[in-house]
Amino acid sequence: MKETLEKETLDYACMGARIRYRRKGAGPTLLLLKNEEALPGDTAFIDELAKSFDVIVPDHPGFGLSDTPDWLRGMGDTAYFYLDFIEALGLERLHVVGCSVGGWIAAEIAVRDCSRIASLSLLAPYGVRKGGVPFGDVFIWTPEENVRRRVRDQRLVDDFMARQKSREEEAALLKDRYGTARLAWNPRFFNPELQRWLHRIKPPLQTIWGDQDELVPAEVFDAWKAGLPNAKNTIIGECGHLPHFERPEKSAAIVRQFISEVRP
Amino acid sequence: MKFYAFHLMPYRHLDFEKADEYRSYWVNLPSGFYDPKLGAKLYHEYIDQLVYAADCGFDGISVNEHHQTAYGLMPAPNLIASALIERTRGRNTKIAVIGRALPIAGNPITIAEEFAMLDNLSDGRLIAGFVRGIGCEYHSSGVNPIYSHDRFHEAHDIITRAWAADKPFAYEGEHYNINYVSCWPRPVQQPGPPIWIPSQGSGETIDWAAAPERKYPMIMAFSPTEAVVRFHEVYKAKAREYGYEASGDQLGWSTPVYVAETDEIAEREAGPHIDKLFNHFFHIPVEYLFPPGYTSVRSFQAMMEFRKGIGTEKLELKGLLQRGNCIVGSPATVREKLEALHARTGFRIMAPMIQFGTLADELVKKSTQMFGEEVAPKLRHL
Repeated sequence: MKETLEKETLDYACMGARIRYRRKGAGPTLLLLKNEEALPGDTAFIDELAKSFDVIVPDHPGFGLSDTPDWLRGMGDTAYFYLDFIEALGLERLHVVGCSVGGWIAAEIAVRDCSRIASLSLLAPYGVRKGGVPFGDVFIWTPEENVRRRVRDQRLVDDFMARQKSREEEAALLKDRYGTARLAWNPRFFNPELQRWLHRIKPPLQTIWGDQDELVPAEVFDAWKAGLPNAKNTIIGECGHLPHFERPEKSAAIVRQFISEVRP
Repeated sequence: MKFYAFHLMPYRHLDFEKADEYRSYWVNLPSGFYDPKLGAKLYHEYIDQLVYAADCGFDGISVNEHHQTAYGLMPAPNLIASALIERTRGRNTKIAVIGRALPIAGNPITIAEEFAMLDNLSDGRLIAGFVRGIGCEYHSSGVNPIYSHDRFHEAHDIITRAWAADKPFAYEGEHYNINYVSCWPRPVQQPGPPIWIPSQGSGETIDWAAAPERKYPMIMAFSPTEAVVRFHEVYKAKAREYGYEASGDQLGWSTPVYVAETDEIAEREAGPHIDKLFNHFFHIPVEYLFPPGYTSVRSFQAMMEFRKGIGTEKLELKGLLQRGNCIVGSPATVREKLEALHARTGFRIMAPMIQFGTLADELVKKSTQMFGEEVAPKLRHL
């Protein structure tokens, strides 16, 4: 078992771009679509899922260690990229888990083609708007606010904030921020087309929300429910925008439970 | 050297103490701070000041565009330019709009049309500035800063082609697609008015402006002397790379300038208003000023080093003068500083900001007159 848990780092080439992904664990295949701003120590969720699943974790095009391809102009390109990726890796009956922007990406993939998707678990997803419930303006917040306002338990990020970042680290953080703007600046963190066609998403879908999310308030679930009446939601108490980071074991347990209920 | 009096038209009656409680003077400072009765008078005062500069022998008078801020009251600078044109009718005074923010415009043809109208109204005295807009304006317009450069280039191509064309053409872009581009009226100056590029030194902008098919003058704004020198040098080096020598007419500098009888008087009179400009009106957090994609990551990191301080920490007049963020002094001091920079880069376009911060009308006119009489005439040979 230990061997199959070893981290693997792999590259996937797509139309001239190199996309970096990790694959870890054994079991049913699970595609984990990450949130847009990596925090140190946010791998606990992956480790937890890898105990029961073959977890594939890409850096989205334009983020992290992946290239920023010329063909990447917006969310549609990201979604079609993942359909290519899923096909090329021969993934079937795939469980998709997405955090924040990753949750939005998951929905954009599924609304286009959900034939290979068995279930979707979206943690505090962007992508859908509820009128009168504004998202936090992460583009106006300072870097410090951007980290601190994501989590309820400030102790989790104190070390990260206190540490002087190297120029390379700063550049990496900027890259993720640029990547986010490319997908989400306008319309701001949602896609009206996705919202109109949510009912095209056929596999079981659940959302998981922290009760103290300052970025995507949990009430936004109502808007998902409007398009997907069977969608299920679980609220985690005392938790901010990043349940997978702040409550990794609990979040993983909710995902595991949901997947176990999906009929094979 | 040529001189173009420049104005931002700030809302100088602002309640600064209250405004300081907000995150920025830009984007989300409530418009309730603006009193239309006082503001309407300000427009007249400021237009008079620019016309006065023309009276004092400046080669041109210039305005620019900013949105949702007390820093400048010209979201539509062409309206002011139109008034200035009428007030200087029959003279040689150039009217410089430096500039219009191309990427945040919904339809670039309107910019081509308005500039063409101004060129007609002024009998060919227009200088057309093209900018990308300050970072804040991507927050206030909703336009994605990631595509700022792309939209700028497409809009530029549409406008310049529209000016030069004598029949409709189709424009096929990624951001703009227009079946029939046709500019009525055509501009007086053919193939189009001169184009200037005000810049904060973004590498991408310099490479583009210096290209041999454009050779657009680059006007460095709001930068300390060393940054102006550095970016003028980058421009010249780029020109050499393209296979030609950039002339001083391609290099400009815009900065607040205040002239008085002695250095001491000048510093005393200008000090509080320079403070208002740099420490209040220019109170812009980095996130407002440089939204993601507005520059490349590389340019962003380089610019942060050069601009250190502006809008993020309190700047004292002494330090600002030392670093050359503004020029304040007797006519001799001001001349020397301009001569010194000219000796280093050869620049020949000077756009002194004749009013800044809360500087009152009387002092603006005194300084403008002294600049026109005692500074400009002695530097024209450069």
